[in-house]
Amino acid sequence: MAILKNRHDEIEKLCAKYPSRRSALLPVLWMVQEQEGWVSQDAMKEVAEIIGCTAAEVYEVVSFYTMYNQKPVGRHHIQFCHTLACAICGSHEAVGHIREKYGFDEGASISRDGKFSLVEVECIGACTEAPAMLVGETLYGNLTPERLDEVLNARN
Amino acid sequence: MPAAAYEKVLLPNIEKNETEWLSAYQKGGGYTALRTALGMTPEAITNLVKDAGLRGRGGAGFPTGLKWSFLPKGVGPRYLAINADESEPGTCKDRPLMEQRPHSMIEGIIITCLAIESQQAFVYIRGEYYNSAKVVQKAVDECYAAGILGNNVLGSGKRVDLVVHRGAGAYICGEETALLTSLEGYRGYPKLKPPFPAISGLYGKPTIINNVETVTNVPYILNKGVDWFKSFVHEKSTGLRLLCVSGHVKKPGVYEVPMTYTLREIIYDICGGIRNDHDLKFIIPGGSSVPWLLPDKLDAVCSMEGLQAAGSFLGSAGMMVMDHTVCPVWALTNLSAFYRHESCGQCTPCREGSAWLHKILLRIETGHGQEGDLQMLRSIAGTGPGTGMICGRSICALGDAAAWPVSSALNLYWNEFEEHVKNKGCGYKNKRFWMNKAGNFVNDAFAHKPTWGHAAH
Amino acid sequence: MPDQSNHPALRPGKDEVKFFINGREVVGKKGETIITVAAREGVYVPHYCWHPALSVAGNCRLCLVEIHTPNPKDPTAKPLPAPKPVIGCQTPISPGMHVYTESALTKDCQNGMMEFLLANHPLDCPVCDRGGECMLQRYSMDYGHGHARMVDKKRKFLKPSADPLIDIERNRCIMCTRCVRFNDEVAGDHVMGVFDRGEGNYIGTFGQGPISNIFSGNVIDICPVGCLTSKPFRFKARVWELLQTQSTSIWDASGAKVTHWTRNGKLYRTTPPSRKYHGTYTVNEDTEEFIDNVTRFGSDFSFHEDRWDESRVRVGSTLLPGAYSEALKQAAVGLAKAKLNHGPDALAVVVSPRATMEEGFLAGKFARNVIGTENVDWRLNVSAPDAVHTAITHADGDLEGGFDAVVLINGDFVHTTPTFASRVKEHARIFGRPIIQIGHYHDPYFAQHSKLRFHCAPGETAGALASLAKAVKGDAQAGNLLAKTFNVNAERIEALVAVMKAEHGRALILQNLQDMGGNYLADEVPAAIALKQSLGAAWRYLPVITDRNAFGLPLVGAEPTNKGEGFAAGKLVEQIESGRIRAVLAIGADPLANYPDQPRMLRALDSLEFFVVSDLFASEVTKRAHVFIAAASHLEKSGTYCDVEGNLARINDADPPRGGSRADWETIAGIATLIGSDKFAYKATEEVFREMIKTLAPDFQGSFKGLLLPGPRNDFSIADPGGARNRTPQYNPGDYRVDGAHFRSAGNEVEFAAKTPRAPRSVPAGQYLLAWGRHVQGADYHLDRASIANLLQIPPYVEVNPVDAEKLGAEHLDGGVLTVGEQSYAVEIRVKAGPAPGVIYMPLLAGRVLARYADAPIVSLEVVDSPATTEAAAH
Repeated sequence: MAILKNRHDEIEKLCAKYPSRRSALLPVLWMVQEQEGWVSQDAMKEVAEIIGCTAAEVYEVVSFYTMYNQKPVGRHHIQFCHTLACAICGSHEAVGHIREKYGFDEGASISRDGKFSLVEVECIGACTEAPAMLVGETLYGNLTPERLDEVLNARN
Repeated sequence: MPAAAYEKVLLPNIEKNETEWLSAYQKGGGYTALRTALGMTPEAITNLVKDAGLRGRGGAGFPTGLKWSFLPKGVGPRYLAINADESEPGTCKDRPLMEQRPHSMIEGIIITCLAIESQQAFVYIRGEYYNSAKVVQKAVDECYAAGILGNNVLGSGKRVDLVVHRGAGAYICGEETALLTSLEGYRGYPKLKPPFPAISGLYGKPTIINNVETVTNVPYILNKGVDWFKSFVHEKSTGLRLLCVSGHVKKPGVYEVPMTYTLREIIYDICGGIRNDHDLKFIIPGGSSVPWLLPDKLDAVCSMEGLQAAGSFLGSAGMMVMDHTVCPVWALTNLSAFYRHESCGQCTPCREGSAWLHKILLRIETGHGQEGDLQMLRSIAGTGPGTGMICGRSICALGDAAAWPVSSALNLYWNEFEEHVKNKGCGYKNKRFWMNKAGNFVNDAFAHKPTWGHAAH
Repeated sequence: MPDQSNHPALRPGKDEVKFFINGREVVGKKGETIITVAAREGVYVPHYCWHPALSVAGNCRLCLVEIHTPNPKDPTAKPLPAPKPVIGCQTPISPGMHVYTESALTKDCQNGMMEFLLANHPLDCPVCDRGGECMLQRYSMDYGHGHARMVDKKRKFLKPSADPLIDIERNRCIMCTRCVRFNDEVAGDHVMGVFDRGEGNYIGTFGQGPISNIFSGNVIDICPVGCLTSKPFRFKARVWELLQTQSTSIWDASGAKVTHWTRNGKLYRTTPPSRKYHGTYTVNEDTEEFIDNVTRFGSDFSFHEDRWDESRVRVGSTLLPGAYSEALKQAAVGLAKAKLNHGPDALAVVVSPRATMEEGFLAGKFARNVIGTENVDWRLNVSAPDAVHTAITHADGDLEGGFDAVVLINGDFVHTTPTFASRVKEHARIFGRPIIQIGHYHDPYFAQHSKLRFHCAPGETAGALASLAKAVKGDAQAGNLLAKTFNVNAERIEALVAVMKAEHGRALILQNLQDMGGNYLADEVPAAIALKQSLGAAWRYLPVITDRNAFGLPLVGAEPTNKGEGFAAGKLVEQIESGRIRAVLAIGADPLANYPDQPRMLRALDSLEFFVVSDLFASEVTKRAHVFIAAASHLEKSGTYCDVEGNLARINDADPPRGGSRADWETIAGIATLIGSDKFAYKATEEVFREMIKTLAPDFQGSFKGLLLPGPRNDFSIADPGGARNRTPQYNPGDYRVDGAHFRSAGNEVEFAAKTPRAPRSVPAGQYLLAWGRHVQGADYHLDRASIANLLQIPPYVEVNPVDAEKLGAEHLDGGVLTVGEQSYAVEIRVKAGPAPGVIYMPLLAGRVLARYADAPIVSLEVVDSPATTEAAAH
């Protein structure tokens, strides 16, 4: 009990909302990720104990849902949509722009300075504002080169 | 042209992009429908919705009132699950709905709970909608504080609880039974049917799953009456519909329209036409899985029946419009990558089929196509619904959804596919889609190679 | 295995559903699925993910069939084709439905699925151990279209070394999830899972850990393809070159049926008996018989280098190898001399609990007819012989026909009789029957299905059972007492009484006889039987013990009839030390097993005037013999065993006896004949068996189909393996029951009365009561010599209740030191809800940790590995 040590009451309140304790698995994993930025194996073991299932069951869930990061991410985690509506509005060029301009090595998902991490994701539900991305929890749409730089440069 | 002026009710002030919190909502007449509903029997509410002809807004278009009436009598507890896992590419109507008018949705949820005699509702919001979840959660908190939710809804003695539950990145959880397994805390695997959720759904109890937009319509049916709702009609499609137009139109956006407009009116009148006055290439009218339409179908009415007659579906009303710069093979490869990535992997045809389709398409698009590839694609994806090796053989409809665009694109653009195979690659060499503020294409030297498909383990 | 179709809930006639398979009218029962009815009707529907013992997953889609349903508007009209093909494993049958398993659509579906499943398959059959019994191979022939179209790069997964016993080759996996469901549902341990998503889905364990349960080996059989294979068997042989011998497990009284796969005198593997020949290759049929890892991987001990396969006779201080006949003669002379000098009661015959019924029968006959004594016993491992005798002779329960409720009294059932426990659990799981656990230790294996659990301190169980019997009769005071003993509120007791009083077709009381080395059994056994007697005819009593033939040997007279004062193998040391016993004939018996004071035992054996041992190995015991007779192993002889449920099963000889060794029944008969008896002239075990049955049940009318079939003989096995294979007996393991070869002692009409409850013991703060039981993976002179004994045996561990763990600051899998009196043991701490609060449970792992104390001793436990402790130590 290390990671969620002080959040016992919060977790119990959460579990009480559902008819089955198992339902709280996704929300508890979100708590871990919001706190740590990612979900480590130790965290999975801990969550298994909280929910009352095996670590394998937690890992089954973590590995199914792509938004749970199984590795540490940068200070600002960029999820850039590359599905059709965004792709026909230039998401691949935009991703290339980010990779080049913000210090990503070939194939790397975290920038050299650790400031940004970038992952191309499937549709994020901002098709009418394509191309769009999530930086942390914030959605940015209608990205032009200028606006993209503006958004990313404002982060530190 | 039925362009008579009409009142927009679902998203009247979409441009403002502000959240209407409880006091403002109530000032505008919010929660009066709930008060009306509290004085009605569950059957009366259900019948009203049936009479209005409200059909599900999530994609399948199933009559909502009929769905509610499938619940077995006298079995409890029963649950309502609201599908806010809007993930069909091209669709983004529920996000503004939840972020701008959360109370309108909550009112719809509570009335639905009364109609189906449920005391517990869940809103399953996709993980990417961080903000929607926050807004809805805050609105729910307001409702609990104001006695609108809880064990005594507006002093009626009735109980309705509402839990906001977040997904974590899985398109499949928009499938109603996968949504339930996910809500139960498991991998989002669709369940085997039958039994259907109305008999055995969440935690094995009778469950109704409705789309956000569907339930949001309910208060307006109560407030404004069945006749008002049916005044917007095309064949069996009634009411107003949120249409998401994306892609190469001048004014993409979410539009609240009656289902009486033609595609031409939507693209050229409402959305201002194709950007840079390019030519229209094709339209994907109802979310990424539906068959494509060529410009010759522009006069089809954008209703469930109208588009079906044209050979496609209104589906989730997410319309993607492509101009002539878009290579159909490339576009299909993109969609195919989506289904490959989003297949849950539970059943054989979808897991293996969606990946195989994409592998072949990627090969064709990148100039490694072989003779026989197109026939192979056809034999896997079929020539239309119900044919091929995937359609109708998977646990849920994602298998079909992965195959339909392939069969449709092959039907429409066989020649272009053949040329890709023959010429070893894509003729649309200068695909550049990104524009700067001035509206000029950015010929970005660093154009990124898309990460389509999975890395191997 | 519970057969759902025969369950009383599905009454015949009333729930009949008539429908059509390929145009032929068939009858099924409401709720049955297409695949089960079709199988019964002889129509095979191919499938991968469906398995009769597991939940329906419906994911392989290979069992898709075309169906037509009656036209609702006009039932007389032609049936309407369903919009889509449906899966046979999940779709319930409905009246008038037409199922087509061979139509063009059905075949197209099967073709398609086979192509999908093979698209990414590495096609590495030449190096795959599943070759020859692979369902992908079989279905490719039967349902595939024979060519591969996929030219793209195949999917590749990493190959982790997750488990020491099971090899995972994910590239061959078809994601049927049988292994995941098996571990979850049967083994009760969701240790395997499906990870990642979509085409990236793969099976594995968390953090590449081992599949750490006693049933894990079954995933090898249950896997329809080459994904999960046996590591010990890896690359050793092709299955079609091996000779199969149907046999039974010798490890515990569950009586699991097995097949031994041998070639040229070597055992290659042991599996459940479900492989059937299909044309030219074996098919791994969907087995509902699961075996534990000890049975699967431990059966090759007879090939250990310690094996003495020549008989030996003591000359001076050494045992000189010699002929079997010479050893028999010396044994006969020595035993006869001892009888002459000290009288018959100075001799004892000690039989292994693993002896066959024939051997037990002959040992009894030898002791009584040739020596003239009652000193014959098998209960070396039992410290309460009379209680165990009472329990076994009062057993009247079995799982035939299932149960509506089951009460488990005290014990680690899954480690006492693993496969029997799995059958109990399967029944509870499939039919949702309540499991009630009472006592100081509850088996966590049943936790998921245990609706009611009542913990009490060691020694209080008998009293609690007595109170329960009274409470069921409506004694309110007894109910209050019970609530106090169990430390629960009155409603829980009411719920318990309600289940006990409910109208049951059949209900069981299972009592674990391994518990606490039998220290409280003298009280607990009568209390449990008394409870059963008070509950009426629906309730049956079934004691459970590890010793393989514990239920067969008492039947055939391998224990003394003079109880109390008579001889008891468990008290051998005392009886030798007092001079009462001067000569011992040990038949495969290991007096050292589970005996705490080994030097004392060895001193006692040294003091014997004459000591004959018939055994397999060189050991501290056999080295002390005056005559050592080389015995045949379980792979080299035949004989009969009786299991917990009273069913007979047979071991068959897969090989001839090695070297100069002989089966124990021949040895006993030989000595008897040499001493001068003419009643021991047997040529084969079958003759002994017939005589034994005649003695046991003179009026027995049933047949012994299966039991009397001879095993394949060595004379053609080596020269012509194919011929031998074709002559391998194939019998349905269930035949024993059908044919009535099922034994229970009869005529025990004595009414039992439970004693007055004991006063609770007071335990100083910070200390605990120690409970223990025997563990099938514990040390055993056979298991110790299995080739992979190191992988099968488990480290010494204790189980601690979570409440106590929190007090101790112990976390799961911490290290600890358990102190009992002067003795200290290094143990692994497992936090489980099994032991009652205040009780520490330790399995008896003889040889490494010995724990046979007179009473539940007061012990202390110190955590050594926990982070908290190391932190404290740093300050």
